[in-house]
Amino acid sequence: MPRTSLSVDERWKLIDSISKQVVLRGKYKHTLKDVISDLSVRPMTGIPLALAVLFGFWAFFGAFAGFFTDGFAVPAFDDHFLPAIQRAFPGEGGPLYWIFVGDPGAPSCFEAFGVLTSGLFVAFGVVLPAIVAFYLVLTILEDTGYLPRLAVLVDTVFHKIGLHGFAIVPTILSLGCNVPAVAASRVLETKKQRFMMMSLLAVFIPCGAQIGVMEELLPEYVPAILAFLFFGYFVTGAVLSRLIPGRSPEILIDVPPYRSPIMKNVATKTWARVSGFIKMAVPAVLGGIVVVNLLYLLGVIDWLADALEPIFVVWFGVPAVTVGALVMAFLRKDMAVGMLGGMAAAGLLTTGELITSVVLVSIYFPCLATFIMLWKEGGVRDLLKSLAILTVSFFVFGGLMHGIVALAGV
Amino acid sequence: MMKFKLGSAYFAILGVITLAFGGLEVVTGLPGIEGLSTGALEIPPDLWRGIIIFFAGAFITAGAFKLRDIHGLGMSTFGSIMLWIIAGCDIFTRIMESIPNGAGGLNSLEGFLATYGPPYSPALFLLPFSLVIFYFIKEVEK
Repeated sequence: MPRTSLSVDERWKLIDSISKQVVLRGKYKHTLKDVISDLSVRPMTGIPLALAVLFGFWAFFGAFAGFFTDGFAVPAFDDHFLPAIQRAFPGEGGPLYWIFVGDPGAPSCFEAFGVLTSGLFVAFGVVLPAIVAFYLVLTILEDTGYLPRLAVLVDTVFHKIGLHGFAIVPTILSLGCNVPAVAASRVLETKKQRFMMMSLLAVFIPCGAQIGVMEELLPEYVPAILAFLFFGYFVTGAVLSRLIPGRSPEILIDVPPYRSPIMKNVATKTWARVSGFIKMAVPAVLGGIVVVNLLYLLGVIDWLADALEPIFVVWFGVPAVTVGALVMAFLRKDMAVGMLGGMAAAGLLTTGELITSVVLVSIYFPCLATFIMLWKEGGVRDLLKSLAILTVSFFVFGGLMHGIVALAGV
Repeated sequence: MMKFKLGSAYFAILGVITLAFGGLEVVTGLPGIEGLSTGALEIPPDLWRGIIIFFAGAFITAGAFKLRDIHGLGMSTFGSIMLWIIAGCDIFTRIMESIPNGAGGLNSLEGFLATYGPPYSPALFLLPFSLVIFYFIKEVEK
C-alpha cells in the first residue's frame, strides 16, 4: 500500500507501533554525570570547582609555555641566535642594523628590539607557546561542556553589570585574543550589551600573547595585575550599565551533558585558532617593530616623551621613556610589554614602574586589529564612544595603580 | 553493605586529611609565612591551591556519609575531581620541568629522574588514595 493512501487514524496507529518499539518508558534515575553536572552549577560547590578549573588552566598555561620559552627558546635565542646575528649582520650601528638587529650590545633578545631578534623571539619563542597552551585548554573546556556551566554559575555576577552569563565566553576568548572575542560579543542580545562587552574587552582584558610576555617578565605579579584589571572590568561595567540606556534581558542557557572531548576535534579546533592567530599576529609584530624603530630614528618618540613627561611622571609615576612602549601597544601589546621588559632589564624602570607600565599598556588603546574589529562591529559612533570610555579608564585606573604600587612600596 | 560502611569511613578520613592539608596550604600561603617542607612532603605556599584542596576535602567528607546514594557518591567524586585537577597540574609541571636541562638541550637521565623524586605536594600524596572512588562508582553502577 503506498504511504500517501494512509488515513489520519492509520498514521497515528503506525506512529504508536513504531514508538512502542523504540521508546523506553520508566522512571528516570539520576546518573553520576547528572549529579556532577548539578553540583557544577550550584554556587556553593560550583564556585570552588570554577576556582580549581581556572587554577588548572593557569598552571597548565605556565608549565606549557615555560617549557618551550624558558626551556628551549630563551637559551636558543639568547645564547646562539642573538650573538650570531649581531656578528653576521652588516653595518653595525647603522639605521638598517637598528631596525633589523637592534642594539648591538644587547645581552638578550628582549632588550635588542630588532625585527630579527626581539620580533622573532617574541612571536615564536614567547607568544606562540602561550597561545597554543591557551587555545588547547579552552577547546577542551568547550568540548567537555564546562563553559556553559560556567556561564550559568557567573550569570548572577554579570547581571550586576548589565550583562549575562554568556558574557563569560567572549571574556575568556579575549584572554586568548581580543579580535575573535569582539566578534563573539554577538552572543549578547541587545545593542547596549554588545557595546558594553566590546568596550570592556578592548580596555581591560589582556590577550594571551600579552599574558605570556607578562608571565616571562613578572611571573609573581601577574595574578595581582589580572585581579586589578578584572576589578576595573567590573567597576567600569557597573558604571556603564547605569549610564548607557537600553535593555539587559534575562536568558535561558541550554546546558549540554558532560562529554569526553574527542582528541581529533580538539586538535583541529586548536590548530584553526592558532594558525589564524599566527597569520594575524606575526606580520603585526614584525611590522610594529619596524614602525617603532623608524619613529625612534626620526626622533618622534623622544619628542612625544618630552611632551607627555609631566602626565607620565606625575599622574602615572612612570618615566617618560614608556611612551615608546605605548606607541608600540597600538600595534602589538605583547611586543609593547616585551619592550618594557627590555627597559627594566636595562635599569630604566623599577619593578613598581614596570607593573604600572604593564597595566597602562593593558588599558591603553586597543591593538590595531582589535581597533579595526571594533570599527567593523560597532561603526564609527560606537568606536568613538569606546575610545572615550578608554581615555577615562586609562587615567582613572592608571592613576589608581600608581597609588597602589606606591602604597605597597614595590 | 559492609564495604559501603568501610568506604564511608575511608572517605570520611581521606576528606578530613585533605581538608587539613588544604588548611595548612592556606596558612602557608598567607603573606609573611614560609612554605613547609618535611622530608618527602612539601606544602607549597599558595593560598589558592590551599582553598581548592580545603573545599575538595570538605566535599569528599560531605559525600562520604551517603556513599551508597548516587548524590553522596557524586559529592565525593566531585571533591576528588578537584583534587585530581591540582595533582594533575603538579604531575604535568614535573613532566615539563624534567625534559629541558636549562641550557637549551635535553636533560640527562639522572636529572630527568631526579625531577620525579620527593618532596611531593599534599595533592600528589592524596591522589592514589582518592582513586579508590572508582571502585565505589563501579559498585553503585552495578
